[in-house]
Amino acid sequence: MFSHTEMLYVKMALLHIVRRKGRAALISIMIAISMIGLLLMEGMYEGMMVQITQNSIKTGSGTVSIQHKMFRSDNNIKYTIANPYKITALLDSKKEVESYVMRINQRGLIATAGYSQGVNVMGIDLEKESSHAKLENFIIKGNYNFNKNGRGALIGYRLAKKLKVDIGKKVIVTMQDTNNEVVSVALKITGILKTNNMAIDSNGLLMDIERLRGLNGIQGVTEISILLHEQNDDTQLIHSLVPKINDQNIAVYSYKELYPSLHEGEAMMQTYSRISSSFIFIVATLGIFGVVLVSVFERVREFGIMMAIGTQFHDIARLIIYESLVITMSGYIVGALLGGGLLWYFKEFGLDLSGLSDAFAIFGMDSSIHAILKREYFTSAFISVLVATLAATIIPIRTLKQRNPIQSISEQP
Amino acid sequence: MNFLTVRNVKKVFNEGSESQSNALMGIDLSIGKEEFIVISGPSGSGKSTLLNIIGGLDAPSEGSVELVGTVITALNENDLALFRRENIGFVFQAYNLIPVLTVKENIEYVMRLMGIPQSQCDARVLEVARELDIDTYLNKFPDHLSGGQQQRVAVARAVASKPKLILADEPTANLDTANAQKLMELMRRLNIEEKVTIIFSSHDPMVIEKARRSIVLRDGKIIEDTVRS
Ligand SMILES: Nc1ncnc2c1ncn2[C@@H]1O[C@H](COP(=O)(O)OP(=O)(O)OP(=O)(O)O)[C@@H](O)[C@H]1O
Ligand SMILES: [Mg+2]
Repeated sequence: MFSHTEMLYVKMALLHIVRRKGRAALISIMIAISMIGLLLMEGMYEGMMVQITQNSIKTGSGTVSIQHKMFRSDNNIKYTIANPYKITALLDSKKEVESYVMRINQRGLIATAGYSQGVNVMGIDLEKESSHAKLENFIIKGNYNFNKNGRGALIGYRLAKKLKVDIGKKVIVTMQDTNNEVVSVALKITGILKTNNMAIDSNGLLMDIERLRGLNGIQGVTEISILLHEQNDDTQLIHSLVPKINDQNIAVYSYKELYPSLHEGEAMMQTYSRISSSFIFIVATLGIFGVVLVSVFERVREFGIMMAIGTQFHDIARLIIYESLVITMSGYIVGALLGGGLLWYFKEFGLDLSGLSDAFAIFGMDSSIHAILKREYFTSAFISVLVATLAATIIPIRTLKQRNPIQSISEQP
Repeated sequence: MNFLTVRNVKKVFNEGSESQSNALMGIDLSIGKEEFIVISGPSGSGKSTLLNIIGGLDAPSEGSVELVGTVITALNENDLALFRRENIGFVFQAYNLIPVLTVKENIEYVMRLMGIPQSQCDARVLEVARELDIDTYLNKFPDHLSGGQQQRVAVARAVASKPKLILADEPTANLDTANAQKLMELMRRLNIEEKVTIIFSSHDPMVIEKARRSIVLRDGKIIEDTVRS
């Protein structure tokens, strides 16, 4: 594996580091800190991105959404899926599908004694939503129920604020039925939701789907919202569903189509994270570069003596490279362990941002972020450190090569 | 065949510029095996330049150096390094040692480069260290030694790998009289016991008189070459 002299240089590199701890420790720590920063940034960013997307997807139209093809452009309840059970039977047989729910979405008007505004009325089944999007987790006040009589409603927290209503207060919801007659119902607020999905938080009222049917006379549903085990299986599922549903009037959408801004946001964040990591990479390279440069130049005389007594230049170069690699790689390992550990912790237990959550809520984030931990964070950082280290050794080695041993020895120590 | 032949060696630094200096102006020299030679002369007379060229650390502007049958002035850097490793030991004025290695590791460094097995290195280090009276601090680091001790370690390293020639440029310049005398005596003993040729330079009359053959330089020329009986 290693030749006799090679081992000698590896040993000398190690000795040099062990016996002159200060600077080696400094650069190691610097790299370790950059590593931790980089890992946390990547992991938290990605965690944040996933969370933002997931919140909107889960409480909204799902990873894949099935609707009447006209419903998206014209939110009219005459565009419904009349026979949803034929479709759900299909979904039951798809192993990519994690869960699905059927909903009725309808535009309406919500009013209190002093105020009224437009509202998205969503007819849902509490139990099914619970095993689908775990909607009860988004309740910030009140309870996850519609009262025993079914006359309760959950509303978004921003809407509640605007209407100045609270738990137990009554609101009047008005809408059209299938015969274009105006119908209205009085509902008591049972719970307030904070989902970070704007459609619900600012404009959503959720009521019992059966009660809504009784009111507007809809037989089917307006949407089947589907969550997948693997978000990226969306296109595959859509391709296999469309021919089987075999209905000109039914459209199957991916979340990428329904929430293009989410998708753009993802791309933007990725670019941002890439820019920041290249920045960290450049700073680390300069640091490594400086330290390698200084540690070579302060030992020019030593290298001169080594060459005088018979060390070949390429062995000196190798010594410098080994030394730099040991220093930077030990920093990498420490950084990977600590950063990886922290990320794992934030992945398991989340990072609590409740103090800042109002500011973050605008971006559709929860008050706690769960990090993502990927192997590629470590491999890309490893390659970066490796490349930076090698790049940093080039100039000192070249400078040394341009002198003959005696010029190096004449250097004042 | 001579042990060492220097033929018409000239060295010009910064040729053509204002600061041009003709350090050596045609040196011819013939040296036999196991000689013990001092090169003296005033500052700037070319002592270091000559030693560096003989040792293959610097190239002459003109002329050639032949050592044990090899024209070293014709070798490239890489081969020169190998040649020096096998044939020449060096002692410089100061800071000869590799600071991160212990005294023992410094002494055996060249032998390790030559691929000599560790057990043989150990034995040789001990032998040389006893000869030079440094065997009690083999495990210390250079910066824990006095200047005189460091120079003796440097001599030990130069001699340990059994080179044919040892070049020492002002090895006693940084030492007090007692230490300088002691170092010279040790070098003289090695010259006899190890049968190694030694060429050193010096300013110091007390040191110069230890040598058997004395070469004096002035302005890059040999002005005197005498052998004491
Ligand atoms: N690298 C160099 N560049 C330019 N000139 C040099 C260089 N090395 C030596 N010289 C010049 O060459 C001449 C001989 O220098 P050298 O160092 O060989 O003398 P020396 O006899 O060893 O002197 P000292 O007793 O001071 O060590 C001097 O004039 C010196 O200035
Ligand atoms: Mg000199």
